[in-house]
Amino acid sequence: MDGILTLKVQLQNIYANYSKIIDKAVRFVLAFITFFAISKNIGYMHVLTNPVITLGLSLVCAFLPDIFTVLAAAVLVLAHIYAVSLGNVIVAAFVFFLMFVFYLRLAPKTAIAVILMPVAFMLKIPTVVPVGFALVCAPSYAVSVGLGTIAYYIIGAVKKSAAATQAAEEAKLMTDLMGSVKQIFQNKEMWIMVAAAIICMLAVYGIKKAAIAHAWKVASAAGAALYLIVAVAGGTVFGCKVSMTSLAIGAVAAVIAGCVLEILFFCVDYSKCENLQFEDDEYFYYVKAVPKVGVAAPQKEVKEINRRGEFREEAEVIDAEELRKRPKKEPGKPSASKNAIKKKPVQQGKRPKGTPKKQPIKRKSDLDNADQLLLTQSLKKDLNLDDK
Amino acid sequence: MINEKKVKLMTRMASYEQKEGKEDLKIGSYYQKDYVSMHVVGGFIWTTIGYACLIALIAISSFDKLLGSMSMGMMFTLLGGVVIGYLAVVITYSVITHMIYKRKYQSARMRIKKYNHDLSRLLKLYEKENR
Repeated sequence: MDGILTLKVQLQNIYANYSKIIDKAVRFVLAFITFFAISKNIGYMHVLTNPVITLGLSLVCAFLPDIFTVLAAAVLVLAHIYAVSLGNVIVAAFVFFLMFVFYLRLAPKTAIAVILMPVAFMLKIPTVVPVGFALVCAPSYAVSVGLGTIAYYIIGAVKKSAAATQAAEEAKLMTDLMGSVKQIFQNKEMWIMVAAAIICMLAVYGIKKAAIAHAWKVASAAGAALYLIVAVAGGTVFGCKVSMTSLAIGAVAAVIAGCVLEILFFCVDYSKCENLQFEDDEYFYYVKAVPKVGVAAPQKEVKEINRRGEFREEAEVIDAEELRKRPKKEPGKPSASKNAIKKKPVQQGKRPKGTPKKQPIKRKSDLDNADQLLLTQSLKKDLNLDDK
Repeated sequence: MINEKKVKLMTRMASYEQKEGKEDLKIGSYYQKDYVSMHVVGGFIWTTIGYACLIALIAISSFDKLLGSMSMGMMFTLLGGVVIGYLAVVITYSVITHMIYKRKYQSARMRIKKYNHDLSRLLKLYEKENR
């Protein structure tokens, strides 16, 4: 666990240092996956399936807010549908417009859920998105998750109707429109999945907020189970086919995603939980305090082996005046130059700020004198030789 | 010499200016009433168009049923339903829009106030330095 927490702290540090680049990279990857999935699933307009166009569009979206990725995805879907049938494109445009007018215009920040939901459906893990958003975000994201589910089923309906439309070449516009609307809005599976996603999100959010131990784990497991139950029960009651494989994989993935999100955003130690009770003039308070688990990131220590300016060197300085006055060397006499040479401590660099000043070194003769004085004084005391 | 207080203050202000500040300063140039009513009117127009689209979609989906059982009484009932629905949707959305934009304006004003406070503190620091 400590290793995971250390990794989390390291990741947080990396994100703090490179948040701008990481944000753009994540936005780019998300946009690329979305556009690629759209081209792969309903790539009826061959010009737009070109990977260069997908890459370029993703690159542009990386530098713009999330709502632009949603708009670009909507335009891409409409362009692909237009290649198949005009009726479908009108209906899809109406639906996307309604989504924008009634919700995304007021809450553009929640647009990310509208993109992620179809992508999760395509990856066969639809439960992950409602569980994840309920754990990390506000319950208002439930509407966006529902809209994302509708967007996925619109794409699915277009895919289904494409073959039928191509077979019946001379379909009238009105018939085409009516067929498309019926196919989209009378799709019971879509409404079951929308209900399952919204119920799952509200349940996860409610349990997450409850003051119970391991609330996040319980919430994600309960949410995944609820999504599965609602989808299966709805499918059985309304007699529509629901993919059990996708639901089962999605439920497992949602629980795993919930655990990962708990480590990232809600890491607490339930074993050290405290229940406190106190009161003031108006209320009695029953407080449950759960301590957060914190791990300090390992820090690199830089050791300086050799620092300049810390060591003093002694050098001999020759006094030039003294040398000039010096008598010529006489044989047999000791050299006078020895007196002219003085030893001076020379500082190489400036003394670093933190280091203390060197104390003046006491001379040996001074120490001897002091000893002698002390000895004399003590002898005088002992022998009663005071000067009286 | 670098003044640590000044650097902290300037960093906070620059971060605000680059993020929420851009929109906040735009919002701050309006009075609350003007800002909220502008968005309510905009929302009213959008909702009307959206409602028309919704009715069109419903009409298309049940076109054959409507043609089969169309009468004068039925038409009036439908028309009444559409008008009542329109009023309900428009009023609901206007109230929601009013609430959202009022809150948005108030939070933006709070942030601008904080920014102005920082600005005056920074000016005082400059004055202190120049003395």
